[in-house]
Amino acid sequence: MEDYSTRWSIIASGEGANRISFLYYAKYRNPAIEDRVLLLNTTTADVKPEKTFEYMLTKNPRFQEIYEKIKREKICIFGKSPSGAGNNWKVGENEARDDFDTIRRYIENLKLGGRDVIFGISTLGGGTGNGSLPFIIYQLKYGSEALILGQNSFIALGIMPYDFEAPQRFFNTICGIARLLKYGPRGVQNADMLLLADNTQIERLLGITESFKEERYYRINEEIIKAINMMIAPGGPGARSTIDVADYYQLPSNIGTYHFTPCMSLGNDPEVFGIETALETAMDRPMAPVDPKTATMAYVIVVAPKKYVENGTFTQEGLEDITRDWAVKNLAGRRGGILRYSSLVASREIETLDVMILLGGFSLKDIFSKALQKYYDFKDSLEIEGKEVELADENNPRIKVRINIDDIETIESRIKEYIRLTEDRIKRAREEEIDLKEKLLEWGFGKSTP
Amino acid sequence: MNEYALATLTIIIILGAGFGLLIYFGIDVVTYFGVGLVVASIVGSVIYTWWRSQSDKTIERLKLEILTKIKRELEDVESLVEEASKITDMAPISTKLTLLRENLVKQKFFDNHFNINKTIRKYTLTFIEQEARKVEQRLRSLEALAAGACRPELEKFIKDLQSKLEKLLDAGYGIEEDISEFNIIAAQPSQSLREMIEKKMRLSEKFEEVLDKCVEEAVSVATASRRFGDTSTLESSVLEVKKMKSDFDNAVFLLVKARNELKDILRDVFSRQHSKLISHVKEIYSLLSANHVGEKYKTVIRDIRDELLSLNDPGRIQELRELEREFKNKTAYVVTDLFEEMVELEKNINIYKPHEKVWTSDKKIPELVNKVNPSDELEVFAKNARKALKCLVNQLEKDVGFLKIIENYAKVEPIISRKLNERGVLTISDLNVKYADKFMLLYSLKNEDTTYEEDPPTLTLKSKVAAELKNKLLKKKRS
Repeated sequence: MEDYSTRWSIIASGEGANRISFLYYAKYRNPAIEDRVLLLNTTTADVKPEKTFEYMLTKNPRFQEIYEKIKREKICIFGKSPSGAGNNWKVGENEARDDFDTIRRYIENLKLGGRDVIFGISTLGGGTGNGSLPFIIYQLKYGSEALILGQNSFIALGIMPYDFEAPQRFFNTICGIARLLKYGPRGVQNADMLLLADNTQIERLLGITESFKEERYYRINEEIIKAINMMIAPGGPGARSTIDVADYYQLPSNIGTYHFTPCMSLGNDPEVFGIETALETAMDRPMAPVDPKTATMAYVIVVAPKKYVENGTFTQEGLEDITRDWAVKNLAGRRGGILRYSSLVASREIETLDVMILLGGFSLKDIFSKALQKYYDFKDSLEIEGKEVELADENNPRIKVRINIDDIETIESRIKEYIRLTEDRIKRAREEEIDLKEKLLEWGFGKSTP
Repeated sequence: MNEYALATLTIIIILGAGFGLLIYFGIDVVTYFGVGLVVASIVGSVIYTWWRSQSDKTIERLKLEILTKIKRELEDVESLVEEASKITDMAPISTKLTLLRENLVKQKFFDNHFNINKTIRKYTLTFIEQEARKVEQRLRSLEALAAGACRPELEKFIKDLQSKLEKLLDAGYGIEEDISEFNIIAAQPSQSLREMIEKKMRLSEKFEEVLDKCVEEAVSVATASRRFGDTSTLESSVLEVKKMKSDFDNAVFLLVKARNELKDILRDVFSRQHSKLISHVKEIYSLLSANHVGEKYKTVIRDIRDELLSLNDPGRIQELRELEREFKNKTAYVVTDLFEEMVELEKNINIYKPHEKVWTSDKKIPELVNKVNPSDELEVFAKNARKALKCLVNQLEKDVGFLKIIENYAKVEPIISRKLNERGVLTISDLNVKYADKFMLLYSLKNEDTTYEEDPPTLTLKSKVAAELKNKLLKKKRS
């Protein structure tokens, strides 16, 4: 751990996120995270090995032993609902609010330090994670009950449902994205950085054809974990240019657009592929539907075998040159977006050339295009009584909650405002170059003194 | 307690007891008491006399033991001092030892032949013990004196032998390991006189062993070099060394001289053979320098090269021949191993049934590999090995490259498809991957709608749009 400038931790809320974090814990340990992992859920049923983790446990008999080891300290059941949140984010949020003391106790057990990163994971179509994670981040960041406070960083990963899923899931998704971006009575920035990934898109990229649902989840989750590890890599040993967590979120937060999606090209043979080609391949593989030409920010992370870095095949300077050309060709505007970082990491552990581009500030149009129809299908079906609507779980009508229609309007207006700002930034990046002569004059160059 | 008082007390007690018995039990009992008392006195006297005689014997035995020990120790120190006199002058200490011996005789502990005197009975055990302690202390101090005198001389002796060993080493004798062993013995601690003497003995033995080794080496090199000059005088002078083992100065002088003479005889022939061998080794090594050749093969030949580069003494011509043999054997092993590696790779490649435009095997390699025979003369061997290795290394490059093409094709194919659809025509520079020409060729073989031209490598999409794009491109190029 000493080699990493920052410690990371994972807080995964809801069944889907729990699967990812358990898989991480059992198979892909990262020295920057070590065992700082917490699985949150509203019902024990969702974290039972025979339900949620059964498939993983069959993959490796050792996983059962690991599950037994972590179930007491790393799995937190919060709230009083016996049947969970029932795909209802408001229930997830209320349960987290009512039982925040329990959640806080478990988070305290992670023994986080003042500058540690809290990496929150949630699927956006469900109720528990989607409802609780934005609330938890807000509480830890701004709330009076915040335990760590100060200088922690909060990165959230929201995983979008499959295209074929029901409208309610997409209603949850849009509300979830909005609440992870902005939260609280004044609608302040919530997560410092929001990563978006889409189940359908990842499945397509991986060429998954299996019909067995659990195997599909497993492979998608593996890909997500690899993206997390790639993101941590430039803060660790071997990084020729460090990208620490503050580099990830500070400028995007200042700019006002802080949503990203990973694009990865892993397992490239360094004897065959150069960085240019790996970047091209990565660019074709965003984890969420985006038009790269609208992206205004990019973090390019290249992890290469140490021997190729040492013999000069790959260099940080070379990477920066390549990234500049690539950005000009591929990002918004003729100057290659407005923010760009690149880091080459020399690794002893791998034999392949792995590349990840974190594309950011892109237009959310493609994401919302596939979600909005279902969002409205669901929203329009809600019966408004006075100023309130009742959200109930189709499968379990006992789970229901009332939500004020104004709250939904607020969420909508916040996300619209965020989208407007994003589009504005893209437009500005695409604008023609300044009239240099005029601007130089304006700055006082070439003016004759009276 | 005084013996007389004790006897008087005993008589009074007995008389008292007899009187008491007389008063209480009468005369009969007193009679029995008196008789019993007489019998008990007789038995007690006998036992007492026996016990006293035994105790006297033990004391005498102890006196003898002490004097025997003194004799042994004195003789031991005398013999050590005698040995030490070979290292340095021990006369003053020997004189003091003689005085000590004479004094013991004078005290009548020993006779003139230094046997224990029978008159020692007259000395008490305590006296003998005290005298023995004095002698022992004197012996220890004389031994320490002797050790102190020996230490600088022993160090001088060690340094002298070390410098002789260096001379032999410089002359070219292969005694590096022996020198280390000698130095290990020399570094061992030696405080007492005995330890110093033992150390000197071991060092001398080791040095003699080294001399023997040098003699054998010189004779062996001389015998092997007879065809390059007259070595008979040299051989006989070297054999003389065997007879003068203790004369280290002369032995070393003769050995160094012999070695120098051998060098003069062998200089030309060594230089010729050395430069020939090293040039072959370097050529083979350069053939193995390609990336796809395993490091273990490079190491094998590099080690021989490095050893050769450090070998510049004509007197070590035999080592040169050993290295030549090693070079041939190891090169033959590298050739065989690489060939087996190639066969294995090609087994895997043949599974893909590659088109001959993409990959072919070199049919003449097995025959070339068979010709590499370590029992051939160096020139013939090196020529055959070079030919075989050149083909093998080239073919391995092709094989490894082809497998990389196969392994990576799935990743490159979508890139080709995308770019081809965008541009209609692709050249190597458009693709930006290694083996771009082979990837394009493979793509064209898999996609009927494309054509591939070899010179320069160009992949074209045969559709109408592609044709138009190509025309535009050609027009642009012409203009």
